[in-house]
Amino acid sequence: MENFLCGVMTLFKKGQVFAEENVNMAVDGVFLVVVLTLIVLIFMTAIDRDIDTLEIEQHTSVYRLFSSPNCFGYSDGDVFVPGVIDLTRFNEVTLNGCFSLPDGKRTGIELKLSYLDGTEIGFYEINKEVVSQKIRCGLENAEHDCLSTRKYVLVSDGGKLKKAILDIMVVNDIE
Amino acid sequence: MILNKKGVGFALPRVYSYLAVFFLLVIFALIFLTPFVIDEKEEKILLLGEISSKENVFVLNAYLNTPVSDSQSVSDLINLWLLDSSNEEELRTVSEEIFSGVYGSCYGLSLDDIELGNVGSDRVCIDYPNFGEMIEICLDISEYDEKLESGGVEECI
Repeated sequence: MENFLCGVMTLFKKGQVFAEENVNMAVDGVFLVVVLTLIVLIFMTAIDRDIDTLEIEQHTSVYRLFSSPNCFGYSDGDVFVPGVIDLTRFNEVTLNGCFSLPDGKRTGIELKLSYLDGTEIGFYEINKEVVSQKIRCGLENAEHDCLSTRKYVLVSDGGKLKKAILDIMVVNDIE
Repeated sequence: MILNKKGVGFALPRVYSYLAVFFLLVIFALIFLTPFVIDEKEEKILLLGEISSKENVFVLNAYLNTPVSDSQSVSDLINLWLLDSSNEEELRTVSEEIFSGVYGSCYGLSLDDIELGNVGSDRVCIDYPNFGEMIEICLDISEYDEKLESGGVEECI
């Protein structure tokens, strides 16, 4: 240890400026590494974000029911009338075609359409296996998440518009 | 100005230069991290609000097209009210009948200065023409949906 210190001291005496610059460069190097590491960490923290798309998927499903011409929306001639349900299209075949969920599907939809006085018009489920898991929604550590909503709609029954209620439940697997 | 020995450039003590870099690093961290920490929830709410509001535009559209008699719809009643404010009572009655039948007491509807129920910040609004001007028709059914999900919807009916 003494020999080492003597060596350093000797170096300092003979080439003091050179030795100081070396020490400074070493300190600068360490500082630079620390700064660069922090920059990378900050940047990674900023971009490493979980995007929870579950609720958006659920609302998109509801939106599609109303907006897609492949679903049960009513068209007066060529004009699509939003908010009006064509009763002739409100059936299981149309609804399954409306969503045509791929294999490994994660979304189940339950629809109940009734008149304002409570008389039921129709009750359909898309992807029944997932919908049947709705009883677990809201439970702690549940593997499913549900969105329930009620929409006031009109139904076109033989060209006549009638007041109705559409109860929608969307059940999603949480991966 | 303090110059170095050769008279070229600044002679800044090393400690200060480190502090300056550290200070810049803190600013960098604030710029990059603060928006993500503070606005994460807000961004999500905005995005969801945007989608759910589009759903509820369909509800407003159904409301406007609702037949009141063989020749009249709610939008006709609104037009009559805009022409003559004495038609307000009929518009109120019809609107209450529609929405209370669906959402009980858990809804808010506003037509310009007419307000039924509580119209909160989750309202969805559309513009309705009024002789070259626009009035806003707003609907808020968020309270009903919240109670539907939490199992307390009986409180509304």
